Parts: sequence; C-alpha cells; structure tokens
Amino acid sequence: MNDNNRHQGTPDSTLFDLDSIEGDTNGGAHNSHSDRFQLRDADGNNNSLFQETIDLERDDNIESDVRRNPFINDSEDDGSFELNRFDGVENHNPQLHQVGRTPNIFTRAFNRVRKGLGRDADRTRGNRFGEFEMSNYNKVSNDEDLGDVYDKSRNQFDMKMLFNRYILRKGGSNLNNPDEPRLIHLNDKTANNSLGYRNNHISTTKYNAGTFLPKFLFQEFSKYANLFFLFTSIIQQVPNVSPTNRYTTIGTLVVVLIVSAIKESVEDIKRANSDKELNYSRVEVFSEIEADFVIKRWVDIQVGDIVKVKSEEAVPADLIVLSSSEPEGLCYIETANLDGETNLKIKQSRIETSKYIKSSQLSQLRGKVLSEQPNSSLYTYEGTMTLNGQEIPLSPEQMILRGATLRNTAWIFGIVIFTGHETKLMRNATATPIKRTAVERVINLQILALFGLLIGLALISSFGNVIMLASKGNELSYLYLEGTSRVGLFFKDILTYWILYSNLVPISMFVTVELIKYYQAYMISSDLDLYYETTDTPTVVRTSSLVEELGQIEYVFSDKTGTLTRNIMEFKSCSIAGSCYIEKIPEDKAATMEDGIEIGYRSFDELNSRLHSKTYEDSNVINYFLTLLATCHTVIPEFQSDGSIKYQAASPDEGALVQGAADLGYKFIVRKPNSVRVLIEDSGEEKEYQLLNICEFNSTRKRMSAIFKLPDGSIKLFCKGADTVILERLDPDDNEFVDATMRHLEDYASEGLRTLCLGMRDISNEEYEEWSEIYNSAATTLDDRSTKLDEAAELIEKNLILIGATAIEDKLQEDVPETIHTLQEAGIRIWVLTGDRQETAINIGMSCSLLSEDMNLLVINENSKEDTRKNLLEKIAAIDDHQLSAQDLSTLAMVIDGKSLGYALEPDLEDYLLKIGTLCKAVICCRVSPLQKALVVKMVKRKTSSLLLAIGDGANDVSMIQAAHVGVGISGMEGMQASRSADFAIGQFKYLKKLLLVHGSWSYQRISVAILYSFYKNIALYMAQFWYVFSNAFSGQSIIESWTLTFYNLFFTVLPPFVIGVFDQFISSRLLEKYPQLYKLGQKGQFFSVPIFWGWVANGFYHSAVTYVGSYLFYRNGFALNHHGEVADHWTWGTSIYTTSVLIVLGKAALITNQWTKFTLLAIPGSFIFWLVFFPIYASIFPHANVSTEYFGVVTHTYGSATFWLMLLVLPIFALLRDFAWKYYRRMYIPQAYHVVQEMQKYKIKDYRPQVQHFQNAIRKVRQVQRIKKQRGFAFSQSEEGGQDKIIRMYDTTQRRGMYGELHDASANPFRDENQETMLEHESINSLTNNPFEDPTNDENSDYVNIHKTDSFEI
Amino acid sequence: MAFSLRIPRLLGSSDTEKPKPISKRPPNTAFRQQRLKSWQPILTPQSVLPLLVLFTCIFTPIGVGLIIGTLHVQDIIIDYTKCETLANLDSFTEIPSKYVNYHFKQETSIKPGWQIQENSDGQRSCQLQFEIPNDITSSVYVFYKLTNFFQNHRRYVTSFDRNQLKGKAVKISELDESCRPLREFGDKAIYPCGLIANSMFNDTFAKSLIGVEETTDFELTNKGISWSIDRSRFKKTTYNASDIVPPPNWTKLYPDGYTDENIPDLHSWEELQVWMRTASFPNFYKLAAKNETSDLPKGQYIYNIESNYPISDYGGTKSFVLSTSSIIGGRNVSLGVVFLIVAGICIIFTFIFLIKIISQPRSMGDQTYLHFDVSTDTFENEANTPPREIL
Repeated sequence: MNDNNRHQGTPDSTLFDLDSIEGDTNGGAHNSHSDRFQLRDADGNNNSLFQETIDLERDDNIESDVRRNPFINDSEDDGSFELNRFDGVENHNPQLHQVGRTPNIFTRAFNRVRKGLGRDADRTRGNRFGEFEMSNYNKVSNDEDLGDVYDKSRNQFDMKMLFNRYILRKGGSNLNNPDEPRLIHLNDKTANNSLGYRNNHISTTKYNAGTFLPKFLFQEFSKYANLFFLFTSIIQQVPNVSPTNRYTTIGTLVVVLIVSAIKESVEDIKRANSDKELNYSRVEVFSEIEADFVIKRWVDIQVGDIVKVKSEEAVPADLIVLSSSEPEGLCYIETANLDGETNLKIKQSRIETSKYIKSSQLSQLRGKVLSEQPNSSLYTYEGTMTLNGQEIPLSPEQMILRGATLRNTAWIFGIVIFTGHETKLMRNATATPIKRTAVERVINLQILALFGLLIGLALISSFGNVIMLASKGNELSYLYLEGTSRVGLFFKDILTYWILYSNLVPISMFVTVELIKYYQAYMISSDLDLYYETTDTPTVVRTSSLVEELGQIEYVFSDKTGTLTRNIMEFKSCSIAGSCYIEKIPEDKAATMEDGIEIGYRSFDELNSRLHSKTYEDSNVINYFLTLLATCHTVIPEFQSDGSIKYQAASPDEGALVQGAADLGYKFIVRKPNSVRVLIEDSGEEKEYQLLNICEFNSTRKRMSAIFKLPDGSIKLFCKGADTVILERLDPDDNEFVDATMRHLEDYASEGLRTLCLGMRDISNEEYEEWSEIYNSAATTLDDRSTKLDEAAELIEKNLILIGATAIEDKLQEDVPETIHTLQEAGIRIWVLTGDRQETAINIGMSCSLLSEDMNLLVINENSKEDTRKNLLEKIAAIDDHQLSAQDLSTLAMVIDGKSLGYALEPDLEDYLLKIGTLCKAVICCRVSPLQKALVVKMVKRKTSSLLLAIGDGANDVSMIQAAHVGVGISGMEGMQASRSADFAIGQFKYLKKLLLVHGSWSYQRISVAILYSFYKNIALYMAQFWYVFSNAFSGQSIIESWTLTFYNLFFTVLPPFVIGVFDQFISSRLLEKYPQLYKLGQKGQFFSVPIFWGWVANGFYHSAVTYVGSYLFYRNGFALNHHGEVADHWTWGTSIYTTSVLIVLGKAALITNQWTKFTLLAIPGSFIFWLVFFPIYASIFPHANVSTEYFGVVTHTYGSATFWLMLLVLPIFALLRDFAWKYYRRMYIPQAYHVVQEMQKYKIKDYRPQVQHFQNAIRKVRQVQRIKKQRGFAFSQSEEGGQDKIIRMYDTTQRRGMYGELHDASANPFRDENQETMLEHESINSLTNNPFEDPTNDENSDYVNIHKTDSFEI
Repeated sequence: MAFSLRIPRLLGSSDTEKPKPISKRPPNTAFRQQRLKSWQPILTPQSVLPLLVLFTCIFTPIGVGLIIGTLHVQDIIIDYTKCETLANLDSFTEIPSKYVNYHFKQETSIKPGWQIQENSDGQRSCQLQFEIPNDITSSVYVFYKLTNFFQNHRRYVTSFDRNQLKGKAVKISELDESCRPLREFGDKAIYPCGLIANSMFNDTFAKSLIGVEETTDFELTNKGISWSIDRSRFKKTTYNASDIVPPPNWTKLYPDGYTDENIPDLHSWEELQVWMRTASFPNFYKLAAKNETSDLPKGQYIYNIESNYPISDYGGTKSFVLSTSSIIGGRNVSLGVVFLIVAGICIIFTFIFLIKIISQPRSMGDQTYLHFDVSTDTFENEANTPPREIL
C-alpha cells in the first residue's frame, strides 16, 4: 500500500479513489482481514475473497460512491454550447454552490501525482484485484494482469488463443500494458481498432469446437472411475494377463464416454444459444459516417462507441454517461442485477458533456478518454476525459456498468469503456464451479474403499496362486508353468485379478446415473405444476447432476426482493381519524362497534363518501390525509403516451403512496421547483401548494416533512414517518386518534404490512418566519450541515396532530407464506438475506410467515466487533441458561444486520454465529452486500455438513447461488443473470415446494436406489468369479464368456436401475406435499449412507455366494445333464450361473420397485426374457464368426437340461428370501413414516387425525394479542444520500421535453413557471387527457417511443 | 375464418409484430407429468403369508421328487489310481473300501476286486471286478473321473488352436498364442497344439464289460460319446505328416512321430473331443463309453483299463464310473435338498410371521406410526404455559 502517495490531495479529492480511502482509514486492518479470510472451497483451493466483502466500514452500494453532490454545476463550461437553460438567474440556491465547490484542481493534481506514481499504485491495485477473484483457477504469473484470471482459465484450452500466442507470437491484449491507463479515442473508430480492445462478445460456454475434446477428456478422466477403467483397459491389452477379452472394458468405456460427450455437448449448445441471444440483442450505436444512431448487435459494440440506451433497457457494456434526457445529465439506474439494491441510483454525467444531447452534436466530440484498466471492483472507477482540449476527471458517478437497467430516464448517451469479458460484471463472474453432490462424494469415497477391497481380493487370489505354485507346482506339470518367476507371476496375477474384479466398480453406473439425472431433469422441466403460465417459463434444470441434492436440503438461503416479494408496493389500507379503510373488506371484518371502539374495516368507497359528507365531522382530516399523501414526497410525475401518469419514485413505497392518493382522487400532476399541483378528481379542481421547505428523510430521522403554503394561504407542516418518531412528536393534548391508530398499526404489522404514520401541524406565519431563518442559516452552514438541518427540522416537527397511518403491502410472490411454512415443516431452515433495512426485513419476515408474532427475535445490531462478540455470547448464554425445549427452540429467530454480520463472520466469531443460527428456526440478515451473502453461505457450508440451497433472482445473488450446494434462480422479469448461473431456474418461489418436496425426494430416493442397485448387481455377479478362484488353482479363469459379461452391464441389467431411477415413486407427489415431514428422510440420508451402501455390498456378496455354491453343488463333477451321458463343460455351467445371477438381480430389482408401470414390466421381466431369447441366438450365430467361440454347442446343453431350469427356480428364491422376509419384517415391525404413508396411499386411507392447523392458528392469534409489539416496519426504502431537496427543485414537469426528449434543468430558472403561469394553466389540463408527446411538431420524439416499443428486450 | 385471421397479420408491420413464440408449456401427458398407470406392490401379511405358503407347496414336492429321482440312479465308482501298486498280478483282491463307492437297488454280495494283467507285449492293464446286483435298464454310461486336475486353469482353458482342430493346416506363426509353450517343436508345428491336447487322458477303457461266469459280456460303445457339434467341428487335418509333430505327452502313442498313415483323425476321435471340452471344476467326469440300447443284466463283470495316465504325479485320482442317469444327471441330491431347504425356510418364516401377527398386530396405514408430529404434542402442552421471555 502506498499510503503516502495516496495521502496527496485533500479528503475531497480522494473521494474519487475509494481505494485510497480504504488505505487511509484502515488499510492495514483490511490486509490482515483478507489474509485471514482465506477460505477453502470444496475443491480445496484457496479462495481469497473479494475484499469488499469484509470491508464493513464502507457501505457496499454504488450510490455510496457518489459522495460528491451530484447536482453541482462544475461551471467549467467553455461556452460553446450555451443553451437557454443557463439564462436568467443562474444560481437560485446559494448553498448549492457553496457545497459544490469543485475539487477539480485537486483532482487533477492528484491524478497527475497518481499518474507519475501510476506504475506502483496500479501494480498494488492489480495484485489486490487478483486476490479478489473468486475463481478456482490458479494464478498464472504475477507479471501479467492478475485481474485476468478468469479469462486465462477459460482460454487455457482455447486453440485459437494458443495458436496466436505461441505460433504467431501475437498477444490478444498484449498491446495494452496493464500498468498504463487505457486510451480510448472519441469518435475515432480506426484509432480505437488499432488498440486491439476486445469486442463485446461474451461466452459462458465450457467448450468450443477446438477445446471440446481435450477439455472433455480431461474432465472425464479426472473422475476416478473413468481413470480406473482406462487403466484397466490398458492392462487388458497386455498379452496373457487378461482373463477376459481384451476389448471388453475399452469398448464399454468408449460407449460410456460417447454418451457423456453427447450429454455435455447438448448442455453446452444450450449455453451457447443463450449467450447468442444476449450477444445478438439490439442497441443503438452512434455512427460517425451516418452522424446518427444505427441499430447494432451487442456483440458489435466496440470500445469507444457511443451508444444510446433507452428507458428500461439493459446497459450493454460499461459506459461513461455523456448526457441524458434529464436535467444536468442525470439518470436513474437500477442495479438490482449487480448488487441487489432495489432503490434507484442516480448517475450524472459531467456537466461538460451533458449538453451533447443531439446526435448531430455527438460527431463534434473530439478527444480521448484515459481510463483505468479493466478490473473487478464494482464501486471504483477513475479516468480522465480530454474533450476539446479540456481535461475532465471521471469518477464512478459517471460510470454505468453492464447489468444495470436504465429507469425513469428517457435515454442516455454513453461512451463504451469496457466490453465483453472486460466489463466489471463479467470480471466479477466466476467460472461456474463444478458442483458435486453429497451422494457423489459418498460414492467417490466408497469407490476408493471398493478399490481397496478389489486390491485386497486381488492380493488374496495372487498369494493363493503363488502359494499354490510353490506347494503344488510339481503337480501342475501339465500346465507347463515352470520357469515363471514367482515374483513376476505375483504381479502379473495382481493385474489379472484387477481386470477380473474390475467390475466391482460398476462401469455402467456412472453413465446410467447420468442418464437418470438427465431424464429426471427433463421430467422436472416437464412438470406442469412448475410451469409459470404468465411468463411462459417452465422450470429449467441447468445442472442435471444436482437433482438428488434437492431431496436433502437443510438450509435455504433466500434473497428477498424479486424472490419472496415482487418488489411491487401497493397502497393497501389506511387509517384516518380512527377509522380503518381498505379496498376490499375481508369477510367478517366489516366495521363494527365493540365497547365503543371501532373494529374492522371500512371500504374506500365509504372513505370517499365521508370525504364529501357534510355530516361526517372528520371529513377535513380525510382531506388533509390525502393532501399529505399527494404532496409530501419526492416523486416526479411523468405523462405517458396514453395520457396516464407514471410516478417516478426513487423509493417504491413513496410511489405507492402517491399512487394510492391518486386512486383515492387526489392526483398529483405537476411538480415545479417551488410548488406541486394536485388535481382533485371529484371536483375537477386543481390545487397548487407552494412548497416552502423540505426536511429530508434519513435513517436517523425516520421521517420526512414538507412545509406547504396551502391555496387558502395557511402554512402547514406535513410529516410522514415511522410510528415511533411520529408518536414522540405528537401534541400531547390534542390527539384524539392515537389509540385507534395504534390499534390499526398493530393490525397492519401483524399482517406484515409496512406502515407509516402521518402527522400535520398548522404553522403560523410568524412562527414560520422565525423558523425559516434558523433553517436557512443551517442550510448555509459549511460544516456539519446535515446535523444542523436535522436540528432545525426538530424545532418545527413538534406538536403534530396524528391524522392517520398508511399500510403498504410489499406484494409477495404467489403463495410465499404457504411455501415457507411447508418448507419449515419439512425441517428446512430458512435464512433470508436481504439488502433491506432491519425493520423492512422483519416486516417481510412476518408477512411471509417466516417469523410469527410468538417468536423470540434475537436481534444483533452492533457497531463494533467487541459489541458483536458480547451480544452473541450473551445470547448463547441466555439460550444455554434456559435449557430450551424443542418447542422453545422453534420459536427462536435471529435478525442480524450487515455490519454485525461482517464482524460475526470473522473466524473467531463465526462459531457463535453459527451456533445461534442453527438453533433458530429462521434467520434474517439485513443490509448485506452480495458478497456477504456468499460469505454466509460459504461459512455455513464449511462449518456444517448440511446441504444448502440458495435462491435468488438477481445478479447480486449469483455469488450466493454459486457458493451453495444447489443454486436456484428465479427467471423473473428482470434479468436472467441469476437463473443463468443457477443450477435450477424456476418461475416462482412457490415452485420450490414441489421442487424440493416432490422432485427432490423422488430424485434422492431414485438415485440412491439406482446407485446402490448398480453396485449390488455387479457384486452379485462378479463376486462369483472370486469364489471360483479357489476352484481353479487361483488362475483367474473367468466363469463366464467375456462378451456376455460385458453385455450384463450393457443390456440385461441396465434397464432396471434406469426405470427405477426414472419412474419409481416411493410415495405419490400428492402425499409428499401433504406430509412435508417425509422430506426429513432425505435430510437424514435415510436412503443413502455408508452403512446402507456396505449393506448392499454385503448383500451382493451373499447373493453371489448363494449362486456360486448352489451351482457348484448342482453341477458337481459336471454330470448334471440328462443328455446321453454327456457332461456339462465349463461354459454350460457358466451360462447357468450367469442366468441365475441375472434372475436374482432382476428379482431384487422387482423387490425394490415401489411402483410398477408398463416400463417396469419392460425392464424387469423384459430384461430376463431378452436374455433368454438373446442367448440362444447369440450363442448359435456368433461362434461361427469367431466371436465367443466358447459357446459352440452350449445352447442345447444348457437349455436342454433340467438342472439348469430347476436351479433357475430355486436359487433366486433362496437368495431373495432373506431380502423378502427382511423387507416385510421392517415394514411390519419397525415401520418408518414412509411405510405408513405408502400404505395410506395404497389403501386410500384418510388421515383421521384432527387438523391441528386451525388449532395452532387460534393459539397464535391469542398470543399475538398478548404480546407487546416491539418491531414494526415502516415504509421508507429511500436512499439516505440526501439531495432529495435538490431533485425536487430541479424538475419542472410542466415543461415539455425538448425535441430530443430531454428535460431542462428547472432549478436554473425557478421562477420561469410563474411567468408562464397563464399559458400553462390550460395546457396542464389538456395534458391530463392528451399526450404531450403527441405534439405533431415533435416527430422525432414519437419515433423514439416507437423504437422503444419494438426493440425492448430482456436479458 | 382462417383467412380473416390472416389479414391483420399481413397488414401489420413486420417490424412490430414478432412471430408468435412457441409456448414452452410442457405437454399434459401421463408420461411427462409422471402420472403413468401403475401398480404399487406392498408387502402386507395378506400377500406375504400366502406367497410363503405357495413357495412351500411348490418346492416341497419338487424337492422330494428330485431326491427320489436321483436316489434311483445306480452307480459304481472305483478309484483305480492305486491299482498298479495295490493290486496283485493276475489275482483279484478286494479293493479297499475307500476306493469304492456304489449304489444299487439291491445289496451286493461280493465286494469289488482288482488285479493287474500283463499282456504279451508287456503292456499292463488294470482289471476291475464288480457285481451288478440287479438288472439295470438302459442307459448305462461309463465315465472316467479325475480329481485335482485343473482343466479350468486360465492358461489351460484357452490352450488350443481352433483352426487346427477344424482340420486347417495352420502355419506355425499363425497358431494361437495360447498354445505356448506347446506350439511348435523346432520348425514343426505341434499337432494338436496346446496344453489340453497334450495332457489328454490316455487310459484305455475297454469296449465291453466282461461277464464273469454265466454273465454275458455287456457291449459298450465309444461312438457318440462326444458332443455332436464337436463331431462336426473337428476335422481330419490337411497337414503333411512331415510338417507336424505330436505333443510331447503323446510319445507313447506316437513313438516315432507322425507318418502319413498314423495322423490322427480328429473327426472320429471322440475321446479327444470329449477331453477338449474343458470341465469347470478340478473334479470331473468324462464320458468314456456307453450303452443306450440294452439293459445291463445283473451279474459279475470285469472291466479292463489300460492305465497310462500319470494322475498321481498331478496329485489327483482317477476313477472308473459306471452310472445310470436321471433327469438331472448323476446321483446328486443337492438340488432336491436345496429345494427342501427353501421350502423349509418358507414354512418357518410363515410360522414366525403368523405368530408375530397374532402377538403384535399392526393395521395398514396406522397413523400412530407417523412419528413426525412430535412438535404438535408439545405445542398443546405448552399452549397453557405463558410464553417465556428469554431475551
């Protein structure tokens, strides 16, 4: 860290470089953090985590980087584009300029210093970003650009790259020295082309045509089993070693590899297609030749291009905003895809470029941009633009990243800085990790154990041979074995037995299981219950290998916005003057009077009639209430082409309130710098309210007030805020509605609605004059202005009259509470990780029934590590002290905020955190950054053996989704980032229920059985070979002809595991959903575990022994045929053993099949019949072609003997009698829950037990009333950055948009609206019915509207 | 109708109107929705007990039948390995009983005896004398039985050349690798090559049972003792006698090697064909002669065996076997016994389960076994106690 270098410049100037802030404040500490936070992932690689994940001093959102006041005028205008908006009074708000003293001089000085020291500074940074990469790939070398690890890893097999690099000696990005800033020419395509920047093409595929083979083979042979079989087939090529045909193993292996290759390529082609869809999206790019925008594909965008992004469109590459349709080059973006925050963020172009609003002007842009090199830091950027000889510093404030979506802004122009894989979004992408399932991990271990067993058996057999030779070698003279060295023989024998026993590891199992999973994935995506009609999205399984994990999930980590909630706020209900109003009265909830207290709801219609009622005494309160809603906010109205008004709100809650007021007849229509205008729809009357002052919202004040001069001349303060803060400031004497409102607030809270209290106050002229002086002096203070302003606001926000409360519903996705409840019943712990603040998060927790009123909330909300430690320890101590019962434990829930979470995730505290977390039924983490989400998931993954599922919908959830064992993405309306990197993409959160409970349980049970059976069936046949060595002088002779052995796995026993894996349903889907507790079978691993595995292996040994010993007894001496005294030869006997084994193994399959469909019939009896038919045909034809010559004449001697048929009858029954009796005994006398449910299903037995559900609900209700409510949500998700005042003052919505759709800065001429009052008077009325854009003179505008409509797309 | 629907599309701007995307809705078929018709077997007492009884009912008669059937097989097995050392020249002595094993319907009155006889060439042979106490209806088979001879050794099983046996004059270099080390001798091919042919059993079994006293001789044949497919497979060779040599162990038979006259005709040499069918276990029978046409009358018989085979060098024994055959071959009760064992196990399980059902009945789908609602019980108890504030 070059701390000294970075201390250059003033604090202001360092704002442009957040790295240096870190370095200044706590760089040392961070270094130690990042060292300690070396995590190991499943593959054992060190994952150095993105440092920002633990950088808790800083707010992890883009907005926090915009420290500079975005509304200042840099006033370094060269005057060449002096437009009208700079006429008139230049700065009406003196404080703006005082604050906005530009630090440009410092910045430039600082930049120069940095440039001078650039080498060192950038090197340091490069290294750090290198560490941040959350990738599994090895860093190649420190000399190269370390941020490039992902690309490198991706390209390490790219033939084209390698060819270029080593043959042509032509580097891709070698032209750019990573230490030097990147140079981008404005409007000079040829110059930019010569710099060799990458195009905007992105690829998430695993392979391409050239890399497929090496990469695929590498991947396949990194599986132990395949390597094992490759080795086996190599040994088989050694002459005189193999007891079986030398091509049998390699043949099977090739088949297995081909099947895998087909599956891989099909999946990769799918990926390639979705990349293509994205790459071929359309965007408007400025063309120098045409001097206008032309439509191009995303993939054709190049660095230095100027693109035009329109409202609701996704940003195709990392851009620097040049100008926008809004005043001062402002624009709103939504970065939910990047960081998950749902409130809109404001970006602003440099004032020097914001006037380039016509496409014709753009071609006049001449200059260059010096930018930092591509890196993965989302929140930093620095660069310099040289425009017409003038140097303009660029900061994160001008940077819009790929993945963001433009909102509330008609269009922006931006210059492309980074493209494709160099964009910060893609640099943050990690190569999709290869996930292994728990079952696979167990199998891999057991395969090693089986391998040990194999070696053991081979050793026994080899020793046997050596001993045989040593002791009885002279008796075997007819074998001419003399001259063989015993040591040599021993090792040769080991190889022989290796081959003979190699089938202990079932070669076909892997491909069978892969096919089963692939097919299950297909079935999951075929499920109509998981198909979302509205958006036409079926469930997509991207990683079919993970299907069985779905059946064993113990933790679900869920994102909130977009996953649990729709991010649509709806004005649901309001309480005015002690009465509660709602759109639609729920049954039995109509208002009644009980003990003089009004209980229940009234309808909005009644609200309306009361408003106009002369008799209703509180009608003026209703009036004020609605007026407050329609005026006291920061929303900007925008007329749509169809004449409706769209409210642009940075906070969705405010939008909902204003919309609610509009629905109730108070329509907010015009915002001017100093006034708002509201249309009272019933009377058609327009009222203008003079806006005197605004006391902004922030998280400490938890309220917002506005002082208006009403049309009647009175001054009123309108205040809305959290109930606690409003109640503190009420007039103690004159508040009649407090009790009723409080009751309503509690009702709202228990329904999980977000509430706000509304208060108002009359202010006398004198008081206002007095106060406004205080306020103005506070507003003009230089130091600690915001505190002063807060203090000033405090003076006037007192003695309020409570007029009511609002309830906003953060609309949940469909069936979310039911789903969460069911999942909890299934024993799944749900952790919600959200960027929202604590109150909101708890509120959502309530409304989606994650939390209930009877729960004990453990809130951890501390500001320092020590406090966090203390808090955690206190809670643990308290839990331990109370010796909680299981019931008490299920009422615990933890709420932890991002800051405390950061401390709690540090290595010395994470155990405490996990302890509490695992005790709690639900955990809510609020204010967490995307990478903290991943950290939490990784921590739980590391510390427990449980399987985790992460579900989310935005790009901010990607790291979490990839970190969890199973990642589920919601293919929502916005962005496909999450669903593309997820293992499963579903349309709705509610589908998680069936996905886990039904498909998960099925898959887990099916896969478990299929795997166990695959091992079993091989052992049951092949172990006969082991018993046989004792009879054949330990020579390793095979009992069965080698191709027939191979066909065992290829034909005759391949179908049963497949059919079980695909069609078996141990319990029907309906009952699985009805009894979510059955899911615990999977969590406890009751279908697959090490003991179960070895139980099956032992069973295989038993069955093989029964077959071998039985056949030995029956075919003793060979005189077992009734065939003219002819005796059975080796192959006659071998065929009988084989047939018996096949029948036993198929019989076992029949025993473990829970449901017989026509396919089961085809698979189980079918396979046997197939063998019976196949064998005579094969054995009578192929020997003549010199294949399987052992079979000459065997058919008649096998099929013609009674011994064969009788053995076939008795041995399978003998072998399976144990399985049969045990299976029955277990069902009858040690039944599991699933046995009983199976019986209920079979005999259609109704569940007679009383439905406890209602009972529970009743109790819960009682408790709810008893409980004093401590936590109540309030509806503000507004940015805390301030500047709300300025935004309000900047807009004048009565002004028409210019010919390019741009809106001029109203604050430049705040009094203009008064001059034009008369002209606008009737026009604004027109505008209610007419679309202002439909002005015939405004051709270009309507064009834009059209283009926007046709070219809208979604990524 | 179709026409009127199409018009707006034709008029509509092609830019704004995308072709209607194909719905991704999965089809509602029983197969895709996993609603296939199915049968769900459950092991209930109602199905398990009858099934066990059924097994018992089927297996008991089969087992009994098989045992009775095999017990009807009459045979006599005489281990003559030690004949040369224990038997006297030209006088029958009683064979030690450990070398003799026989089952006839009636008791024999005379114990089997053996003697060594030397013919004019000085060729010694072993003569076995035994009594057949009752008439034996056809067919009668004579086997030789070897023990501890590993015809199933991995090296041994494959050690022959298929084409050579088929009569082809296979060049040395083209002979099967597995014939080594008995593939060639100098520049001549070994015919038949390989371990199997070399180690062929070369005791000569007589073609008849010689009746003692008034008993008539009983003719046997060595025709049709091999598998018919082998008789058609093995052909007389096309080799020139000068190109081939016999296997080393055959020197006794071919002391001067092959000449054009004495080249063996594999097609008619059924003993070799029988030998080439390798046995699966180290103890095995091989058919040597048979009579499927006439009954074997009771009486005393002498059987002549020229003993050449050095089985004691191999640590094994060789036996003469005379046997009749049942539906499952020789006298081997294992199969019947296993049937009875299975039947027995079934009946035992039936009783155990029956007792269990009576002592510990359980109805199907009994929800008291649904253990997972533990929480609701505690919930009810806890409902009365006031909620505890713990934190």
